[in-house]
Amino acid sequence: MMWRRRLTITLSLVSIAAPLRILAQDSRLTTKIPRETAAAITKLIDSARALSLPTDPLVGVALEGVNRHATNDRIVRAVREYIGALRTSRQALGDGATDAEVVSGAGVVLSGVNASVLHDLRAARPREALTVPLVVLADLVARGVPLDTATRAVYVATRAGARDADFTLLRHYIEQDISAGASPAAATSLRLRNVPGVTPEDLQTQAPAMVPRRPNP
Amino acid sequence: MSRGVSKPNRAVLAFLLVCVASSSDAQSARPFIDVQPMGVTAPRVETSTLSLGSGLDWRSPNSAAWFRGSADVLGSAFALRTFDGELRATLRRFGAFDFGVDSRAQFDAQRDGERYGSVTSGLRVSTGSPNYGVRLGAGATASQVPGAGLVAASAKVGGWIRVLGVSGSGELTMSLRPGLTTLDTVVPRTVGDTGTWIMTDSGLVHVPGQSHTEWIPVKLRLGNRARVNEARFALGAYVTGIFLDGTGGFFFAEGRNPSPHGLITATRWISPRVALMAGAGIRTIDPVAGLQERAMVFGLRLAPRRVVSGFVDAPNAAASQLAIARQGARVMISVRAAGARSVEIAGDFTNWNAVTLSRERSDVWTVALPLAPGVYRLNLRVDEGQWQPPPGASRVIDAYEGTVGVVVVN
Repeated sequence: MMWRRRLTITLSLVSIAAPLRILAQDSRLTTKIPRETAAAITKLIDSARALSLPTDPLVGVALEGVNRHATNDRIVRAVREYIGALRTSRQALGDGATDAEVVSGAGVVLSGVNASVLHDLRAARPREALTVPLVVLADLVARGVPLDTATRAVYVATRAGARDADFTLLRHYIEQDISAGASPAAATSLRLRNVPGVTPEDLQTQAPAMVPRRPNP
Repeated sequence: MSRGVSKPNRAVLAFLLVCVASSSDAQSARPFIDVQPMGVTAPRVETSTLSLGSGLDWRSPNSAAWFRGSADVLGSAFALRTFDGELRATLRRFGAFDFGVDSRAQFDAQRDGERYGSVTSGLRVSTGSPNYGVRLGAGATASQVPGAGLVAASAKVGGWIRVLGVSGSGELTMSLRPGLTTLDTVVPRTVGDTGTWIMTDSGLVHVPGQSHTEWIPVKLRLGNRARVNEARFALGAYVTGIFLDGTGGFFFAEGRNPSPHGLITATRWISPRVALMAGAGIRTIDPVAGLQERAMVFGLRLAPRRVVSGFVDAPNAAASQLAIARQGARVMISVRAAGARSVEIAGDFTNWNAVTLSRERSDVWTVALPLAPGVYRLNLRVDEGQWQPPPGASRVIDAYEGTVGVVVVN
C-alpha cells in the first residue's frame, strides 16, 4: 500500500512539474510575443525537447526575431528552421556531441555548409570539442569567405591539430585583413599558412564535400 | 549595412520643439518658437534619416517663417541647429582616406532692414580613427552683407581627438583674397504683400498669396572687401548624465580686433526619446562690421533616438575590442567604444532585452552577467544606433537575413 501511495504522489508531482516547466518557458515568450504565436513556438520547442535538442537557443531565436521586428510568421518559421539545423547538426556530429557543439554546428548549417562537413570535422577532431572551429567556420562564411575556401581552411587547420586559441587567432587575423581591404578569400588562404602545424602539403588538401549555395530562408 | 531590422514602410517621425529667447545687445528678449521634425526613417534604409521642418520667428517687427531640411543618409550627416546648418558628407573612401563635402551655412533674419548670410562649401579629405584624425579642405565662401555679395576662396585645416570621454575638434579656416573683380548680377528676393517676408535655408522663398519673388540687381564683388580667417573648436562630453556640447572661436578680419563667437548647450535626456536642452552664446553676424548678437536657447527635444548631431566634427563613435572574462560565477563583458555616449548589448542571455553597459574608464564600457558555459548570440549598439555584431567577436548568419554576434563562454 505504501509503494502505491508513493507512486501516486510521484506521478502527481511529475504531472504538475512538467506543465510548469513549459509554462515557465511560455512566460519568457508571452511577455513579448502574441499568445497564439507563443503557443506555436512552444509546441515546436516541445518537439525539439523530445528530440533531445537544446531548447534555450530556440527561445533566443524567437526573442531575437522580436528584437529585429520580424513578423510573427517569420519568427515561427525561423524557430522551425533552427530546429532543423540543430537536428542536422546533432546527426552529423553524433550523439556524443555537447549542446554547445550542436548549437555552433547549427550556425554552420544555417550558413549553407553541407552537414557532411561537420561529420568530417568530427572525424578529424574526435576527442576535442568542435565548438570553436565551428563558430570560426560560420564566422568566415558570414564575413564573405567563399564556402569552399572557408570549409577547406577550417578542415585543414583541424586536421593539422590546431587548438582553439589557434582558431581564434586565425579568425582575428582574417577579420583584420578584411577590414584593411583584403578580399575574404585571399585573407583566409594567406592566414591559413600561419596556423601552427599546417604544412605546405596540407595547403593542397581539398575541402570535404560542400554544397555551394545557401539554403532558402 | 545590417539587414532586416526595420519594417518596410515604417516611418519614425519625431519633432524638435525649441523655444529660443533671443536678445540683441541684451536690450530685450524676443522669444520665438521653432518646431522642427528631427527624423523620418526612410523605408528599407536603416541608416538613412530624412527630416523636414518649418518655423516661425517673432523676434523682429518683420515676423519671419522658414523651412528647414536635414538628412542623415548612409553616413552623411546634415545637421541643422538654431544658429546655423552644416553638411558633412563622406563621398568616397580610398584606403585610409575619406573624401567628402563640408558645408556650413548661416542665414540670418532681417536685421535693421538688412540681410546677412554666408555659405562655405568645399571638398575635404580626412584620415584617422574615431579617436583622432586630421583633415584638410578647400572650397569657397559666399557671403551676403548689406549692398553686396562676396565670394572668396577658402582653405582649412583641422582635426579631432577623443580622450577620457571628451570629444573635441578644431579647425582653422582661411578665406583667401582671390583678386579684384566686380560682377553685376541679379538675385531673387521675396517681397511680402502684408509686410512679412519668408526665408528658407536653401534660399528658395515662396508662400502663395502672401509674397512674391522679384529679381534685384546686386554687385557681386570677388574678394575686394576684407580677408577673414576663423579659428573654431568644439568639445562634447557627458558629465553626470548631461551632454555638454559647445563650439567657440574667433573671426580675424583685416583691420579689426578678433571677434569671438561661441555657443554651449546642455542636453539632459529624461527618457529615451525626450530631452531638455538649454544653452547660451554669442554669434557673429558680420565679422567685418563687428556685428554680434547674444542669445539664450531653451528647448524640448523629441527624437526617435538619443543621437542628435553635436558641434564636434568627428567620425561617429564606434565600438571595438569586445572582451569576455570569467570572474567566478559571473562573466565580465567589456567593450572599448571611443567617444560613445551609451553602449548596450542584447542577446540570448538577456532574453534579447537591451542591457546598458557602465562606463568603467575613459572609453571602456562593462557589464557583469551570470553566464553558464555555452555558446551565446548577441548584438551591440552604440549611441542607440543600429544593432550589429560586436566588433572583435565572431558572427554568424542568423535566421532573419542578418548577422548576429557569437561568443563562446567557457
